[in-house]
Amino acid sequence: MLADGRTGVGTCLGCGNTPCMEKNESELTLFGALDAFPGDPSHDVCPTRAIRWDGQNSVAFVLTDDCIGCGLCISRCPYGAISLEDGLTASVEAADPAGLAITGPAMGEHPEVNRSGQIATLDVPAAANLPGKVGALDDGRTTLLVRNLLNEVGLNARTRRRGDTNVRIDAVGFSRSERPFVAEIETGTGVLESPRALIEDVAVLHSRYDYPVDEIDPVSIILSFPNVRSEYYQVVRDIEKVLGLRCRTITIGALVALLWHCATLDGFDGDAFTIGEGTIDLAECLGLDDAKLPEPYPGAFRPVR
Amino acid sequence: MLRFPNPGSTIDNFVSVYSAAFERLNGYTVNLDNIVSAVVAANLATSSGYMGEKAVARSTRADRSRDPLYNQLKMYAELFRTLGWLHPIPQSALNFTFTLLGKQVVAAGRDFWPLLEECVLGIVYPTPILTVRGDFDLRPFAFILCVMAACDGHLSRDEMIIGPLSAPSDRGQANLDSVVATIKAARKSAADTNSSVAAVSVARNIQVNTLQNYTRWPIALLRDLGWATRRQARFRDGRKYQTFYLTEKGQALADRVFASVDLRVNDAARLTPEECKALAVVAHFRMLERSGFDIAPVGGRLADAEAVVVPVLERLGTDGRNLLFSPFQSLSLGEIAAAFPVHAQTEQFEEGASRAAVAAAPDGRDDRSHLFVPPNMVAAEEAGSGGPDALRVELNGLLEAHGSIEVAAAVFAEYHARDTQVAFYPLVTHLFQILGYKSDYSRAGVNYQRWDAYVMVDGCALPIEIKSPTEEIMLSTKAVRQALENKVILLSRGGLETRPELASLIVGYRLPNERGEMSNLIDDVFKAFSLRLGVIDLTTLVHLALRAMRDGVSIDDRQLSQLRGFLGV
Ligand code: SF4
Ligand code: SF4
Repeated sequence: MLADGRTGVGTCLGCGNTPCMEKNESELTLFGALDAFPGDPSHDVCPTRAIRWDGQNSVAFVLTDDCIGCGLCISRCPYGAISLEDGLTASVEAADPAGLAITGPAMGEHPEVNRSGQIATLDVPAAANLPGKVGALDDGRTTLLVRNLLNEVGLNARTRRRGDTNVRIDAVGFSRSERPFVAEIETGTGVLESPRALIEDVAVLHSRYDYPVDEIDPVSIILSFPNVRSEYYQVVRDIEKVLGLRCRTITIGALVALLWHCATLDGFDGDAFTIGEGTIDLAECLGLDDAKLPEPYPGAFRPVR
Repeated sequence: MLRFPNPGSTIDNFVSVYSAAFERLNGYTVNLDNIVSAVVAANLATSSGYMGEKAVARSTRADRSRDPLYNQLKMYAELFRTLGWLHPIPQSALNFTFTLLGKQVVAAGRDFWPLLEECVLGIVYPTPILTVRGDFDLRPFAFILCVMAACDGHLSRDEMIIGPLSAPSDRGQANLDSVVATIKAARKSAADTNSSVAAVSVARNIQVNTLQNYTRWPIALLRDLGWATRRQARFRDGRKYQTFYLTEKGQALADRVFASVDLRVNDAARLTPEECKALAVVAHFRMLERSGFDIAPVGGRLADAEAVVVPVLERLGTDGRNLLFSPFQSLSLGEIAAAFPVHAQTEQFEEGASRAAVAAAPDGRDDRSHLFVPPNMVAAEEAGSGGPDALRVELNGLLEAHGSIEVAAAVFAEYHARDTQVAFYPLVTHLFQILGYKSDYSRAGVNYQRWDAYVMVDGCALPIEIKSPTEEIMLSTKAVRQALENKVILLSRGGLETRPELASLIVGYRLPNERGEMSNLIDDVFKAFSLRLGVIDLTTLVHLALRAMRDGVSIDDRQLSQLRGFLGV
């Protein structure tokens, strides 16, 4: 709704700094010493570069074939000009169907992104497509997707620069209470390797940045929970028992669920996203206050039986 | 063949590295060290996993050829020079200045792509500045586009090797035809392509995977510039292979290249200094114009230059707009300086005090001597008598035949260089048995534990992660990480008596040459969790076993159970 009371579908105003496409420098800065972590310098919002700039008409547009329907660009447009068309891929409204724009393109700063409402419900086709689409992304695009999802749900995060074989930690950052976390991103079959890599990540962060071991939260970011009988759960419990490290697990589906609900994530403190002896259900950790939150795809919230 | 180094990064990052160096060092004459420092300061690189100033210190090794960061930036610098963004100074090829062209790339910010595209098309050999091995008359990327267009719109990696990158010249239809013929012949089958590549490999005496490495940067450019996308094509025998198809954009560019006037160094050499200077100005600013720069502010200068160069352009049959000629990539330093005078005086960049303050060990590494552990051999009753008879006979035979333990151990290791897990796991346990320790390995499939084997020391088990030479000739950090997990799982799940402070071992065929990364891992894990990881290679283990048999000594059990780092003789 506009100040004069008119409402309607937003339209792309071609704002000069295109938040739907680019992140600004300050979003990529990390607190304190961790800012020395060599990260992916990409400012791209879209993990697949599907959203582009049409210089002729001064509007954004989406290459539908490349869009994986993650919703990142949608959440960043201050004018609500992008939506998930047919619940599948992003689409920029440029025609101003409700006749809301009065002046020409606003080539300047845009108002702070202010999100409310919901981008889509978790039962749209884009949600079900995530495992296939994300699973097919290459390493660089996957980490970009994860970084941007973490950022949009409110976490200070940076992912490893692709090609830097010296740094093995996939991502670092801070929860909202400014506790550092380290993350391993694994969307393929290597999920079993994440826990041991996380032990190393904690050791590296401790020895090179001097954060106490028990103040670092190790997080495994995966696409889908492995089968209930997978060794993964047992190894995570072994690590907690022997080293006192509580490895958390969060899925890309859960991050997308938060994004689509325009919700934030506090971080990985306390019991959040841990794997205890009981049943695992991320729907309960997301704080989305929706009694019947549908699982976007099998394995997104709960291990497959 | 043209050899483009493979800096192993995205094009995005490649440009970020240049910008970081430019922003910190522009206006100075710099060397590679300065660039290393700038890039590290911008958090764009690490050295052996170290960041910030520590990384710079680690990169100050006496032996530069082994420093990964220095080597990587050397490749970047070479490519920056190829693109005309960095020039050597007349007095030294190891000192550089940033060019006006590079400055404009940085100024373009996120929209550097169109200008990068121009610079890529601007790459040309020979030039008065770049020295490349071989004798080329080639504008490689323009040629790649033309060859792609002429070869059904696509080109695979291997076809790039046998075709455009191996051609001595791209001048004239005959050269294009001959490259196209080579490629079309190779498209008969995979075998034909492979044998053409092998022929290049033999003729140039370069291994095939090295040849393939030279195509990585060109392919990254084709892909990231949106000129080509990866798809499948079929050999004439019907089998499929991966190749790169021109996109619409790539095709449009190929058309532009066909329609352009391609000016080479020897063409420019025929001009008078005045004409050359004017041509440089026109070509450069037209290039910027095509890249979306507003050239109105230099309109006057451009008009003056155009007036001088009109007759030259007419002779060449162009109005200056469809010219393939990038002055910063084609002219000599003197000619460039004449056309684009530099106002700011450049001086040699002096390292700030911060760099000097970072104390580095002579070879630039932290002191790692605590991780290299010579074995402490003690007299032991059981030493030399355990293990299978056949193995002891074999070892004895080698010792007698060669007289020295070193040689016998090396020969034994050589015999086992192709062992698979089935042979290697028992071998490792048998060698520990010869040293007088109880040791056993797990049979695949019956292992709820993760360890591959264990050795008992004083009633407690040290888990062993084993890598046979067929799994990896040189141990990797992956194996060390698995040993860490073995220890955690053994402590958690039990099954064998152990204690947290006892080592978890890794035994493999050979230690890696570059042990920095493994050393860091071992140190970091000990610092964070007080867990010990000990690494032993086959030759060392055999050496100890031979000593056990000859001298009745064995490795001190306390040293073995407390091993942290590399056991070495
Ligand atoms: S879609 Fe939104 S954020 Fe993007 S350019 Fe248009 S108005 Fe700006
Ligand atoms: S929804 Fe995601 S993939 Fe699609 S254009 Fe937006 S950011 Fe890109």
